[in-house]
Amino acid sequence: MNLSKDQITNSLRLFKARRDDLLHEDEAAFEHHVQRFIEFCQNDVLVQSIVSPLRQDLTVNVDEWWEKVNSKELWFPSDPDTELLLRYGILVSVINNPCLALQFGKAMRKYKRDEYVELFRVLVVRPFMDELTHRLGNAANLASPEERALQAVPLNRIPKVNETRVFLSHKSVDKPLVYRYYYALKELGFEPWLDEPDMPAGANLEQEVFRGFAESCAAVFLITENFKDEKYLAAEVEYAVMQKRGKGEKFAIITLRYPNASPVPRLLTPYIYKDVENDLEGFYELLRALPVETGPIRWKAHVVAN
Amino acid sequence: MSNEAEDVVRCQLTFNVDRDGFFRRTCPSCGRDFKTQVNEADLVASLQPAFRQIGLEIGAELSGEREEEAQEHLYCPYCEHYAESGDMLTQTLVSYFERYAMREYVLPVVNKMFSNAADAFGGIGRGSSKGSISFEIIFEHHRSVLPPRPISGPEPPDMTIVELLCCGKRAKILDGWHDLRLCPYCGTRVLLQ
Repeated sequence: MNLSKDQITNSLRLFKARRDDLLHEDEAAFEHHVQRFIEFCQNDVLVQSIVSPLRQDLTVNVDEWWEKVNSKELWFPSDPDTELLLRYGILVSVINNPCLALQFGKAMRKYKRDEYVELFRVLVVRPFMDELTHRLGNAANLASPEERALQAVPLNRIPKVNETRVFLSHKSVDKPLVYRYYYALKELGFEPWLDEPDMPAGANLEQEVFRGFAESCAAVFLITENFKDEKYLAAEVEYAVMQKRGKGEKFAIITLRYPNASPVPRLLTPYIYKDVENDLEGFYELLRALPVETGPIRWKAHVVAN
Repeated sequence: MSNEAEDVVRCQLTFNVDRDGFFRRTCPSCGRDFKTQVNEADLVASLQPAFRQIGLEIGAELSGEREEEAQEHLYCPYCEHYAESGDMLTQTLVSYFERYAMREYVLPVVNKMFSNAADAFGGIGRGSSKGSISFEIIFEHHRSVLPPRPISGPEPPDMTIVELLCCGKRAKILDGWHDLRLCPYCGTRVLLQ
């Protein structure tokens, strides 16, 4: 069975409408509603996915059932599949011979139309509908693929384009180390700021660095054994502190101190700092300290290209 | 001695939610369907008005377990209409309630009433004397077979799930609807991503 979500939804909608008409609408139109219901069942793919296999595998004798009813015996098979198919057959037989409902009433000593129709509904139709409803629900669930959820993000949690860069502050001698952070952040979708790739030739160093801070949500200071004094940091820490004052929780000053490095410079101690053993630990702490979160997991485009 | 116990009829309603545990609703303003997560307490509260309405229509007082439960309010995810959750029930569900109430409460009461009346008046009562009027009361009620109980569901697993990061809840909206602008639960302005 290959049905679209819309087809399944429409099928169940029609089923419920036909079922409720047959169960609850005026007795005067009972046979009409039986006919409408059976016509729907015969043409509906979802219903047929339940009824057709039963027909192929099982045999029921509707005439025999009516004979037993005439003998005042109301009997149904104990096997649920056989019972479902028999009840379906009984409804079909009512279309072919409308007098059968009356016949049922006589057997049950209900001679008024509203009484025998209601009794037929209660004893024959409703148990069938209950079971078919249950099976249709399961069939619809099986035929429908699991839904993926979209996310509705509050507007105040969506940053502007130019305010979530990550400023990577470092000594030149630590370039290989800082590039490892740079590429890892890029891979996760962040826009790290690093002097070399982000500074056009001939640009004013001070202005570009300041712009880099202004567009960032974090400044990361990498303190390694190459760190000797904090003078080189002074300007960048000052910029970072300015951003922190201006942006509050939306800006983080993060210091990662590698083994054998000097103590964290005094200028940075009021902010987040972590002793890390290696790059992986450092990157983990960096992600934890950022004021922005990483995105939802998605298949890469080329994986689903075909 | 109070006969309160006899006056209280307890009905246990069962109705379907979809595979993902969502409950279908209809916006009374734009008529479009959406689904909310099922929370038993919220649901009881949101069904109270429907019960009361049905009670008024059939002339009986129907009440749920939690009479004093505060009404949850919802925003329509399409037209942003704001209403009590009890006003955002589908017509199918309301019909189901009505049929259930009719079968489980109204008809048994009517049957009992007619039975008592027939006993009291002996079926037919007549009175006539000079200077007075004659009258005849006939109690006739044939409903010896109750209608079948209504069936709820099946509820298709349709629509698209949306995780609402504002309040941590989830809802379902129509497939292809990309213009969700506010959270149905808390009304926070959101963007679908």
